[in-house]
Amino acid sequence: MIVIIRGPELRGVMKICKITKTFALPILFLLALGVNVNANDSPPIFETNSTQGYTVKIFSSLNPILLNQIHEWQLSIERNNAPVSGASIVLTGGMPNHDHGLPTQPKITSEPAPGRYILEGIRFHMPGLWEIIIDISGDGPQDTATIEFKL
Amino acid sequence: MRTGLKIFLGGFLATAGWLAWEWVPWQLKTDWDEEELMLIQSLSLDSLEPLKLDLSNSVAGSLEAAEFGHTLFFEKRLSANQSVSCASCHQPDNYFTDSLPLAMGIGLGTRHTPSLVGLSYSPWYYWDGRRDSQWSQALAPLEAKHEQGMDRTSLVNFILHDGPHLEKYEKVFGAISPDLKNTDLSNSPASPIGNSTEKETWQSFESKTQIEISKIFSNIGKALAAYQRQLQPGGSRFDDYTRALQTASLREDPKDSILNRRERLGLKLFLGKGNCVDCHNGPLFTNHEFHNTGVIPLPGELPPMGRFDGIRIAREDPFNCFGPYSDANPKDCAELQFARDTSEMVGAHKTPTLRNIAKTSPYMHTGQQKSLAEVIEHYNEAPTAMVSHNEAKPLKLRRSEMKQLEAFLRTLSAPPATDSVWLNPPN
Repeated sequence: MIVIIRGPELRGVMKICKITKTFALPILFLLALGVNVNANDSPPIFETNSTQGYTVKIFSSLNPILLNQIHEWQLSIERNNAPVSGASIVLTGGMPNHDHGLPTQPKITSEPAPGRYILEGIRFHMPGLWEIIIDISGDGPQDTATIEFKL
Repeated sequence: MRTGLKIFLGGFLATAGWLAWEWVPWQLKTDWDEEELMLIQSLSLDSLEPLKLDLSNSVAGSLEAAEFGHTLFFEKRLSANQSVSCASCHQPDNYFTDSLPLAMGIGLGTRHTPSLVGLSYSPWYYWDGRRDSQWSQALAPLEAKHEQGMDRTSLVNFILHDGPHLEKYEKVFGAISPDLKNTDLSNSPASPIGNSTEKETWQSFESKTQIEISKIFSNIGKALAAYQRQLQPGGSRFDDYTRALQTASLREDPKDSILNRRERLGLKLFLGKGNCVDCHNGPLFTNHEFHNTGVIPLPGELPPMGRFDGIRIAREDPFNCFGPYSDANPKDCAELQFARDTSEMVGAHKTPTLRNIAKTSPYMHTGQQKSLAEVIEHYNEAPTAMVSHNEAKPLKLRRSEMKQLEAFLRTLSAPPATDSVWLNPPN
């Protein structure tokens, strides 16, 4: 699946940024009250299906994604409508048009719920087309899911 | 027509055609599409987020720490020959750089002095990113033999026995232990990274004393960083233009009131054909990352390994985010924890800011290139890198386009947006 964010959409994304800033204090207030505001409540920023039937949804702690800011993703991985737990997930990527990879080495650091994986240390440093490759291996078949998007 | 005349006319027409191709500014339109407008606004200082606290430096946002750092920054007695301070190379009148290819402290350095204006936004310091905070960076020149050439113990001893500095130190960091205050370190040059005698003396200290000295040393860096956070860029003509674009009913600037046509054409190239915005992005015109762009080393020198070595040094640095002198929780050290260290980093150097670039020549990590024209020529050719590969590709800009690009880069200069009190030595 290819997800492209282009000019007008990007402007929408910028508007979201401004809205996010406006609501930053109320959100902090809700957090202080213990209200659970997390990525699970928002729609995924990316979703893709692999050839072996894995559905990968990506939720970002930084939405929209901005350049040069290190952040976390949460990956939801399902197969046959069931969470894929205990899998080994490796995420790599880069800019196919620039012949280089990600500027960081993001890693899966925990699986807080079945099929939900926390990826830390992701950052993007250039505008343009990015490709993310997610290798999945575990009890099910080994497979690779790919996402392309433009920043 | 005689053959000679034909050859002459043919040659004349070919030369005229080549000159026209190279020098006539063919691109006449400088209106902007939606994507360009987005990019232009993303480069504006108005898009610069407030500076975040450095969690590894608990006094990063303290005014008292900045004031102490201010005095330390201009303090020449923090050098082995009593004549070099931070400000000797990071000169306020030169946008906190020195106009030299290589830094000159007590001796000749190996790298070009970068500007400090806006640098506190960077997660990495030095051209190869060998330090992961501004405070840990500030420590290195104090002990480098070709820069300020002090040893750690003499430096701490100076603070302990200089009334005004000690008072400022204790105001920010609390009282120093009486035991250390009563210890005479004046005849004990010692440091874990000094010469063999200094290392030997350092090893003779009790572990508690070593830690206490290094703690005070690290606090000196933290105060220097708090000061440097005051040095932020001011709005340039380019920023005025971005504001005008937000309000103008026309996206053209027909009166040339802010940026003239050549500068606007240069901006278009910066965003497009020049590929400059790929790395020089965001309001500081840098992605704070490391790239191999095929810069040729100085004559007689091997090409440096750049970030490939830099990240390894940063990981070994006792003053890094994970280290005992850092105030950060390990979970706040994501940049260091997840930094890329693969062979892709061989020969990669940090993307410098382009703010004030016309005022901060020469350029590149060893000041190899004297002028903006030379830099643009370099990127236009994109020579093969001597180590690893050049990420940049030849731009095929014409002469007129190179001039336009240079004209745009000259619109990025402005005095720092910093109270003049910080730009002069303290009273």
